[in-house]
Order: sequence, then C-alpha cells, then structure tokens
Amino acid sequence: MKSRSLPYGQIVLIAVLSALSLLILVPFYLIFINSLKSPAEASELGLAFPSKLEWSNYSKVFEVADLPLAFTNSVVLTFSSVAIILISAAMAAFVIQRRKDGWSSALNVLVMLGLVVPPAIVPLYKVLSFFHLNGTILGVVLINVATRSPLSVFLANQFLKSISKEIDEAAIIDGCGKYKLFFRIVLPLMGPIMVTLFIFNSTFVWNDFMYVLYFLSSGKQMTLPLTMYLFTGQFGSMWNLVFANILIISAPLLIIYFFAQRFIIAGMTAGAIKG
Amino acid sequence: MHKLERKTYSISFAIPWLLIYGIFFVLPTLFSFYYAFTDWDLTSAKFSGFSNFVEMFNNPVFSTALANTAIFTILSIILKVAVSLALAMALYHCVASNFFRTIFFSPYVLSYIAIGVLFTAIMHPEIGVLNKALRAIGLDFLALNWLIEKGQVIYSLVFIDVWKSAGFHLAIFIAALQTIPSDMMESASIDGAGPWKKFRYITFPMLASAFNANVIFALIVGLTKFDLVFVTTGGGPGYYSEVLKTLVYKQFAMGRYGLATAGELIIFVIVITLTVTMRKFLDKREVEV
Repeated sequence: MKSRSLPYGQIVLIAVLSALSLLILVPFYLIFINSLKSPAEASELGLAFPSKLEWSNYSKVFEVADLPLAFTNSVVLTFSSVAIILISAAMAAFVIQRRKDGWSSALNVLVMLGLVVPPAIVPLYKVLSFFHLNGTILGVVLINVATRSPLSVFLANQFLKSISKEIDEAAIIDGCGKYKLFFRIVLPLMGPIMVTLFIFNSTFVWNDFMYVLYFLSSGKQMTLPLTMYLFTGQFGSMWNLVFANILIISAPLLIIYFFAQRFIIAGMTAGAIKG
Repeated sequence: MHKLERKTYSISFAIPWLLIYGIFFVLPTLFSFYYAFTDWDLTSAKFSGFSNFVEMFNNPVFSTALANTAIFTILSIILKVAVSLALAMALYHCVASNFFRTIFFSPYVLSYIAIGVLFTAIMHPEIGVLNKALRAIGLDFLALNWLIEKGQVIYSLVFIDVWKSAGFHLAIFIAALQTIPSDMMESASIDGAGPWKKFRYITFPMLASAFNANVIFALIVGLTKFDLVFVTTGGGPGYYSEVLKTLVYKQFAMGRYGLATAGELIIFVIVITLTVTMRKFLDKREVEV
C-alpha cells in the first residue's frame, strides 16, 4: 500500500496551529506540574519538572481549603440547576416551537428578552427574602435557572425545528396523550441538543462565582469557586496548593468536556446560526 | 389553529419555566425600576428621587469604570471575533481540525477564579512564564507589568478574556461553516475563483449570521463582565481596572442596595441600547453583503 503524504500546505497549517495550541497547552501544563511541587519549587512559578512529585498536595488542599463540603455543595447546586434548566427549557421550547399563536409569540419574546437583558441581581435580594431563600442553595439554584435558561429554551427551540411535526400527528392518531407524546417520543429525539445544553449549563453553574458571592458568601453553603477565592486570599503564597486547588475544581468539567465535546458543534449548528 | 393542536401543545408545558423565570428574572427586573429610586439599605427603602443617579454620576470611580467597560468591550469584541474567525478559516482547511478545535475550546470550561489565579502566576512581572518567554526571544520591551501597571491592567484583562473565550466563538463559526454546501465551493473553483474570492463572496456571506451572533454575544458579555475582573485584580490597582459590575457589587457589599440597583439600571439601559443599535447595524450590513 502506498502511504499518502500530506500536501505541503497542510504541514505548514498544522505547524502554525500547533504553535498556537501551545498558548493553551502551556498554561494547562503549568497548572498540572506546579500542583505536584514542593512549596519552594512551586513559588518559582516555572515550567521545570519537580525534583520530587508531591502527590500529597491534593489531599492536603482538600483538608486545608475545606473542599469536601464545597465539593458536595457544588455538585448539588450544579445538578439541581442543570436538571431543572434542561427539563423546563425543553418543555417550554416544545410549546413555543410547535404552537403557533399569541401565546407562543409572547413566550418567544420573553425568551429573547432573557438573552439580552442583564439580570437585576440586587433586587433579587428582596425576592429571596420574601421566600426565605436568602443564603440557601435552593435560592441560588432558582436564580441560575431563571437567568441561564433563556439560552437553553432558544437553542432547544431551534433544534425542535428539525424534528418533524408529522411524528406528533402520527402519535396522536395512535391515541398517545400529550405528556406521553412529549416525554416518550419528542424528548428522546432531543438527545443531542440536551447533551449540548448539559455541557454549557453545567459549565456555567459549576463555575459561577457571581451569584454565590452575592447570595451564599457565608457559612456552610460555599461552593468550590468561592472557597478557591478565599483560599487564594489566605494561602496565596502556597502556590503548590493553589495550583492543586485549580486542578481539583477544573477536572470534573474538563473530563465531561473531553468525552462530550463533539456535541457542542452539533448543538450550535442547530442554534447559533439562526442568531 | 386546530383545537387538537391547542390541546396537544398545551401551555401547561411552559408553566414550570414561566414560573421560575417570572419570579426570579422578570420580577426583580421590574423591582429595579422602583428600588433604583430609593434609599434602600438592609432594613428599609425610602423614595429618594434621582439622588442615587446623581451620586453615581458624581462618583469619579464611576467614570473610570465606564471608560474601562468601554475599552474592555470594544477591544474584546474585535479581538475575540478576529481571532476566532482566523482560527475558523485555518481549521476549515486543516485535516486535523477536530483535534485543534478540542484544544482551542478547552479554556472555555475553566472557571474565572481558576483563570484569574493562573494568569496572576503567568503574568508575574519577574518570574512569570509570559515575561520569561518574551525575554528569551529578545522581546524584552514587551515584558510588561501586566496586572500591576495602572495603564496596562485593563488591556491584560482583555487578553485573558480572549484567551478563555476565543474557542467558544470559534465553535460558533465552525458550526456555521459546516452548513456551507460543498458543491457551492466546487463550482466556484471550477469557475476559477481563488481563495480570497471564495472567502469574500461565499464563505464570509455564509458566515454573516454567525458573525453577528458572535459580535452580539461578545458585546453583552463585555458590558457585564464581572468574575474575571473581580477575581484577578478586584478592580485594582486602586480603581484602575474597575468595571461597572464590580463597582455595583462593591456598593452592594457596603449595604448601599439602592445605589447598587441604580448602577444595575444604568448597565441595563446601556446593554439594551447598544445591543439594539448593534443588531440594527449588523442586519443592515448583512443585507449589503
């Protein structure tokens, strides 16, 4: 078999892109390698390989930065927010895309406003107080759902256009009720866009710093980004632990991203194009 | 519309979303039109007319924050869109495009707190990797005090945000490029169109709505930037990297709720005005292209 060699242009292109990739990969390497150094070596902030690998940095930072509690809080906050966003956005998009009347246009206007209007955070304090949700994870879950869901409704709406209405009609003729139609037939067909929305929303909520800073900044409700912020303020000179902390809060999303990243483009092809 | 259709696509499907969105998004937005005009602290809110706005506009930090927000927004739109468009064109022609796309997108999943701390290390004036690399290749004059020099810091923050988000904008461009029919390109080649002509008359017009989406997205994100600035510099040194949202948070943290609401209302007006204006401008341009 004759081996096909790459054309000259491709080799140049790949070389240039590889050089540019270093701008991304070197910082990632910097995080990883410094998280394994001794405090003295890490404080040089360099790329050199450590003289001895300090794997215990990870367990140390878990203890010093009180990560187990924050980790649990972050998981609870992220999963409940994302679950509510996905299901409520898919249901809303189903009505908006399928139904063609004043209701669906009005809902669509609300979604569009939600994409542009910056959330009024300070008055949320009043709303949370009214429901006795100040300083609770549930309060921040609901804020995350309210402020981040419009993008999900919008993208789910775009995706639904590719699912033929004839499917609905056939199901209804076969005696399928509306809820069964949506949950058993339409929702499973929305799988690809749901994965896209899962990735985006879990990234936004897991990394959210602003809402937790405003509404959860005290006590036992703290999430990972906030503990990291406080930890850096207090132990900023312990660079090895700071880098270990970065790695711990970034790893879950990076893992999800590398396994599910091909869905990002699929979801965007459905949505972003129509602007 | 048929009765059956109205029954099948029942409004009840939208109710969970509508409830949460109504109570935790629409309601506070409406509240802000009242509380911005009150002297509201932790305990009570008394109507105070325009005094919050007068105080805001007379605050010298507000003008700094406004100027920084403008610089940040304009530069970040230009750089994010230019860099991601160039990368998209490169990836479009590259056989290993999926591999590089995965790499370029990956910073987007990092949190700003992680990125802020990371770049504090990278941009350290003496021992940071960035300045060491610049000195090593003889560009000593570029080895700046990135996050410390008062005239430099806002530009460094733009750079960090472009580093994080270029891959996201790239993904939007790539998604749009995948919708260009390949026979369109082939027939253009047969008609003798060179690479520049193909870009100018096929690719770029086909990318128009992705381009617009990217500009609008970068505009809104730029005007409401908070996390990056707050965790990386806290608005400092002094107030030299203060932006509107960090100023508002600081007023909130001091218990000046009415004043902070007025600040949010100002941001609200700026975002709506500029987004609508930009949208109109882009739609007009799209027709011309």
